[in-house]
Amino acid sequence: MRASITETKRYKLVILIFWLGLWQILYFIVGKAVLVPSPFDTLITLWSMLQEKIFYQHIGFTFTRVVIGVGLSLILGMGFAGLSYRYTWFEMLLKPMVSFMKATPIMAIIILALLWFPSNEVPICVCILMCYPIVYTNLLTGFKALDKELIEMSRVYHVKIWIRIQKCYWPQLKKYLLASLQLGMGMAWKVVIAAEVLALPKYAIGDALLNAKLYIETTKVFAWILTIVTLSQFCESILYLLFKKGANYD
Amino acid sequence: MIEIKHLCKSYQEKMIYKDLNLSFEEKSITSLMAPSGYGKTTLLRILVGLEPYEKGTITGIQNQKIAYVFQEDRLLPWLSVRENIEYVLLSSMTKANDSKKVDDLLELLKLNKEQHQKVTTLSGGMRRRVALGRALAYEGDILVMDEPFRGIDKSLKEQIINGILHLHKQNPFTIICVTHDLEEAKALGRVIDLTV
Repeated sequence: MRASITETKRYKLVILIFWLGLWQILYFIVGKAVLVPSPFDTLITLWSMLQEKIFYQHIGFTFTRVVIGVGLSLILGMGFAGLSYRYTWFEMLLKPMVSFMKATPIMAIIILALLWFPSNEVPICVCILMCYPIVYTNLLTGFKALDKELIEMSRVYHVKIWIRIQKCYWPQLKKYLLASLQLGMGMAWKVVIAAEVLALPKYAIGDALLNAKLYIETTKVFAWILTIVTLSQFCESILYLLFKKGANYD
Repeated sequence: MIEIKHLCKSYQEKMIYKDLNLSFEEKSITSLMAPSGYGKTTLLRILVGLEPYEKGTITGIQNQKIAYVFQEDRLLPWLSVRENIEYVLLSSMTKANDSKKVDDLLELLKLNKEQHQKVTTLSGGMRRRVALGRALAYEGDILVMDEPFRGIDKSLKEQIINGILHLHKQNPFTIICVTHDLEEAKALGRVIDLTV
């Protein structure tokens, strides 16, 4: 039997308390706040960070980079997946590039991006290079899984292309798009911040993280990590809510 | 008139049709009968333009608007009964007329009560009726049907056949129907036994 909503919330609270407790125990065992700060100190630091304008500037700029990176990956991934589905030669042409992008380590891509692009654009470019293959691969799988019989039926009845997209293709593709966006969004936060640490644009969570590390402000590093995880989860939840209906269409 | 001349069709080295000759009068109703595996569906798919053939000519179907009741229902599972029927009308939607047309078809097919239900919740016979409704709503010059009354009970089938005959009388169009049921075939009109 499935747990009720109240029960689920209770479980989540218990799990949260368990991990916070484990963190507190680790803090006692290590005994050095410079290596592992306590959850309480971290929350106090986070609270003080929340009062600073620069905190929101860092978040705002990083968030914009993530959204632009994911958005462009989505446009490129959808377009190229559509073309690859339509033309086999196009899929074969892209295959080595996609394999190359999937297998190349993030750091190697960041270093290449630092050589190729101005530092402000590096996080966005890296985000596209890392997220585009995820969107492309998922959507191409979705296109290939389209019901051929329904496509044939639509063709026989001369249903116009935008109506086919809206009523026939989109309901089938939505769940693939959601899966790729959720995966991509999680990846985007990680790679954008990693790229910011190296590229050092003016306002960036990566830059703030690096500064906290330079001044050995471990509590601040932990506070930033909490912020990043929360933001990433928030974005995934928003996406899930947007696509919820589509994922459960059948 | 639709004329099939010297049609040859093979599938995976098996000859299905060798020199098939058939004709269908314009605005006539014809039922095709043959045992399972004879290639009736293949013949319909050739007529609709979904299947290539090796030799022969087919005339009288070019530039014609063809509605096709597939052997499978081929309904959009995320749409309701009404939306599935409207799907083929959206490209040329003249809202008021089409809405009335769909209402009449739902009435004919006894699907009024279920019109807002998702097709996945329907029985096999009901789904078949939706597929039939979609084809009738399209108002093609030619209506091609592959076992359209499969799974529909006898009394309802008779009512639907009468309804189709009534529509045909009002606004004649060519009907080509594949069926296994001789009674059903006779009720519609001319019967061609493909084995002869």
